[in-house]
Amino acid sequence: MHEHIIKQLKNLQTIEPDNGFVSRTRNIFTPNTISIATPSRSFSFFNWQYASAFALVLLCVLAVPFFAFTPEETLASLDTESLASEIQSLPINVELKELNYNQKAQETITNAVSEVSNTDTNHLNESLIRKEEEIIKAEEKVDSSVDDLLNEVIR
Amino acid sequence: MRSEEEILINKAKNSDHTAFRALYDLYVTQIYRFVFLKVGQKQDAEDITQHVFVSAWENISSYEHRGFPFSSWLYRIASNATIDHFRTHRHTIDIETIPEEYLGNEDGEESTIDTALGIETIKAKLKQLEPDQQNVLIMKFVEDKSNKEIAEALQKTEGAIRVIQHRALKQLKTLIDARTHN
Repeated sequence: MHEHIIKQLKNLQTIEPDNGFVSRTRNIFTPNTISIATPSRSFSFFNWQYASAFALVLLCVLAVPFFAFTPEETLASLDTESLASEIQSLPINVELKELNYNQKAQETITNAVSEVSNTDTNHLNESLIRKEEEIIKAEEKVDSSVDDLLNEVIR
Repeated sequence: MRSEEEILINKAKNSDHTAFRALYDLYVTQIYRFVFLKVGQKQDAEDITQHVFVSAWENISSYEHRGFPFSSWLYRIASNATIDHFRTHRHTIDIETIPEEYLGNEDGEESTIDTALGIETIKAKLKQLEPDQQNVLIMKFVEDKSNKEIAEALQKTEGAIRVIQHRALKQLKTLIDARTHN
């Protein structure tokens, strides 16, 4: 049975396109036909190998001036050894800063406590003394008109 | 030593129109036949065939010769183009809507299986198969392609092609038997 089907399928080989269609379509592929994009020649040459080589060259061109003109300090920051030593010293520096802060705070508290406990006016600073003197002087100002009035009352 | 076809392909890849026209002349008939048997309409088949060759011309720079005939690549483009065609046009072929001439003579005079299997009948039945089954039967028995080449064109293994071919012939026989008994 399959042989009969296969035979009939082979009879389909008689199907052919119209000659007019074949020649019309063939004419599309002529150099003067502008409606169809010509496959880019440059594209055929532009494969991944060329792209990779170009990328490598570009990287070198950009990398050379970067390393040639970058200051050493900048580059030093990229040094892994110095970075490692910096990281190792970080906790110590933090601890030293904390110690300094605690020491200063303790000194300040001690001074404040001693000043409060000292009743002698010598412990006051000069600016406070001057301010107090000015207040006293202001209070000591004599108003002559008041004196005159008091004298009149006495009389 | 490179084959004549390979030389034509390399020339076409370098924008040689004459070389591509030679490739077109070699394959236009079989690609048209393949498309026509799938879509069933002359105008659609011509449009799709033209699209296949234009697409091939525009993308030939990406074609890599792997020892298979150039037609394998063209069949692949054609197969995808027909899928797109059916997706776009949403054609559903109903056997009841197929014109009388496509169904052959039904006046009961066809007593033998040979007369029952007219060309138009087998075309109509072929279109009722799955797309992959159509592809395999057309390429194998209409175009006399090897299983290896069909496998390359349809991106399947040779084993899968043999299975599809077996199922397709069985299905086609069932369809034809059903029509004969009716």
